[in-house]
Amino acid sequence: MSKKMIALIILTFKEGVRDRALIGIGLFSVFMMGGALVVVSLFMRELHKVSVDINLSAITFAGLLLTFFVSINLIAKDMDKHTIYCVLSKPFSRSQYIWGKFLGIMLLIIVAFGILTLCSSATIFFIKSQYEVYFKGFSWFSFYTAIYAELLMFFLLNAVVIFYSTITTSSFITLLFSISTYIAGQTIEEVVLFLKTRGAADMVLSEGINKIIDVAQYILPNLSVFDLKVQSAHAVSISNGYLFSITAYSLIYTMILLLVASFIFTRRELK
Amino acid sequence: MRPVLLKSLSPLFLILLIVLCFLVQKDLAIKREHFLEKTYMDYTLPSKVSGIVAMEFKGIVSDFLFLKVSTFLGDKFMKRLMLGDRHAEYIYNSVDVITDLDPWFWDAYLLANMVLSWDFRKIDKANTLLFKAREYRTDDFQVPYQIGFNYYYFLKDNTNGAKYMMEASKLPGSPAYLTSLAARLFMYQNQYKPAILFLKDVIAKTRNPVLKKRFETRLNTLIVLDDLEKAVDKFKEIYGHFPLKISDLVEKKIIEKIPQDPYGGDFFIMKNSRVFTTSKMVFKKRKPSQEKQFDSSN
Amino acid sequence: MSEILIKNISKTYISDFKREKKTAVQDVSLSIDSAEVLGIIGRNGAGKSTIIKMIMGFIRPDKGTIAIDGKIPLDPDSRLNVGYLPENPYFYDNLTAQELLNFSSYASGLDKKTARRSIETLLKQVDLYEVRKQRLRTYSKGMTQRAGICFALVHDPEIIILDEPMSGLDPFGRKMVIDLIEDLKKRGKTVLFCSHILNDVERICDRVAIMDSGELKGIYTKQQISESEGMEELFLNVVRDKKI
Repeated sequence: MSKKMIALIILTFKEGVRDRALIGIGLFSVFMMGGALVVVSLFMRELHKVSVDINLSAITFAGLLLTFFVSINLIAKDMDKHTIYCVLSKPFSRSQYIWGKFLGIMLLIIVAFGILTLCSSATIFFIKSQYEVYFKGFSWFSFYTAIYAELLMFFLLNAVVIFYSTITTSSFITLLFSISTYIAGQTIEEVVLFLKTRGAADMVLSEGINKIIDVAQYILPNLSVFDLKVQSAHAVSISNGYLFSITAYSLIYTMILLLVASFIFTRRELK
Repeated sequence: MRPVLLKSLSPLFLILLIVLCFLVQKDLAIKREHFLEKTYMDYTLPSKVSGIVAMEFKGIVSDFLFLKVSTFLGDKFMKRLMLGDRHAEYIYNSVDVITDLDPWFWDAYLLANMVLSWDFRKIDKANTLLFKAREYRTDDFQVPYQIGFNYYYFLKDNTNGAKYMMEASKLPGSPAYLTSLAARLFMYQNQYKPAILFLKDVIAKTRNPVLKKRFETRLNTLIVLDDLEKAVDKFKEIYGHFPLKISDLVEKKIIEKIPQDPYGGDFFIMKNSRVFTTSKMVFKKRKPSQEKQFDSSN
Repeated sequence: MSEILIKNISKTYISDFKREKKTAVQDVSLSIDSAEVLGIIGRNGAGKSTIIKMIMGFIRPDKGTIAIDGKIPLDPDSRLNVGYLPENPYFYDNLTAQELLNFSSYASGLDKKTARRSIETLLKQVDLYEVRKQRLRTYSKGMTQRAGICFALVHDPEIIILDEPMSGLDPFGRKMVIDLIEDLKKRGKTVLFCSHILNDVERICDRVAIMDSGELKGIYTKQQISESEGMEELFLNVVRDKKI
């Protein structure tokens, strides 16, 4: 990793970490985790399930807020506000810019995840110590595995954000497209399954729609594969093969997106 | 002159508004309570829709939906209201959705089973859900135990009852008595003992005070019934025939007095010499006018 | 050896919706020699900024070639020795001047020690040393401009490109820029800048290129300018297409 790339990564990280949105996101997450302490008492027995559900959801929400507000600021707004000249007037290629930005954003997200993981671990530890009996079906390993899987999803999602930034001209459109891709990516698997099992019986879809869904299935990133929250809530074990697969999927898809983004961005004119 | 007057009055005006707001809110809160009670809020979104809408937050959505169902039931239990058939549908559909979102959610299965079987005798529905649980919670003895118990106690099917209880006894954490109980289930055909053991097990693990109380009431009634049956057997032993009425037991001083049924019914001896109660272990005390409105607004 | 060589470059913009064509630069050829100060002047929309953006690689010419020290703008190393100050400098609001300059130095390959020394010197020169740890968000326009100058010069580049460096500055700011360019000139740096303020250009440039409507109307040496009726007259004449 050359010195200038490290400088770019640190530049991106610092600018992101000082975004005031982070305070809001942090407070929100802590609030949600604190809420877990209260909500838990409303439930019957499986307190580990509720604790894990809330904590993992809090971490995911935080990641989404970071991606849709801070990342967009760091990339799309870079072009909007012409701060990108700071970087491109230096000896960076367009491709290096894309990768440097991506790694800077990922560093930010990893650090944020690290802090949130600590906070949620503390929350769960506390609840566990209070209600030891009702925490039978819990596993720390399962909990951290789910967080790891979420992180893989955010690798991919942020690459999506960067990709859209290179093809659109406004940060708002990037935001819209990114959120739409997130929603589509989360639901596509279930929609396809639903149509496959009910298709012929209940609904007769036109050829066109079937084709669109077929294509969409492979182009859209299937984000639901990274959702191990429900399994983690019940300490259901995930096979190593599956973990390896989703890691590979995330890395490969991310790299494809970044390569295409680099390609597009190299040809783009900055007015 | 006028602007000056307005200016000096505006803080007063503000205070007046705040007080007014507070009063309106209080009134609205009461009206809202009535409004919500009259509103028939027991629809459920089909699970496929819920699943898609919940996206990657299925766990937390299932928690929320479960809270909804359990507060609904808790409210009814606390007020000792009678539940109608439509409530059974609601509970079944809700828990079906909840467990589609999170198929390992034991609390949901448990609640559904306890209510659908004991309160509604809809064993097929209860068991449908339990069988779903069995697919996922493969190491949980409680699932086959409850399936087996339903077969034995409600459906009087000892074969299936024993089969599933045996399955449960082999899983980790199952109570020690389960193996022998399963093996000799036919012996308990005419006893309340297995039900007592079963409920004791469930109560021990229940945190929710409202539910706990409800189960305990049931357990205590079963214990009373069991005691009465023991008294009936004692009568038979002494006098060579079964008593016809509970009062006979008091007459012959086998029991001190006729115990009270918490559900408000009367104990009686059935033709097969088993003891039961006219209340059928269901609360019939209250039938508020609101319930009537529920039924008519269908 | 020419430091910057521009040969027959043209650039046409196509407006997004109306499909209108606008020629920004038409067949311009220009060379800027080592240790020379060249000023490009023209009206707004003459194509000055466009040429600079093409040199920096932000935009690609439709036709023609550009070489900076023998390297094409697509090659990131062409900017290794270049310092750039954009027209309205925008910097990352949440960073401090110190951090910004750290980035500029490391991105250009300076080592820690050299960077530290250079940053300190420059910040003191432009009188920003005291506020170097404040966020750039808090800087006034003049301070931002000064920070921008430091950003452009911290790695001691051989070529300095300034896009309308005087725009929006008060007289003190303008004097600072002029002094700066003269200092660079003395040190043998190559300076290219564009402006529409004619007096300053007359004072400091070795040569002046006049552009209008995307065309290069002419390049005039300092001598040629002094021999004519002055920069302003010359400019007006040239633009109105009167030859001298």
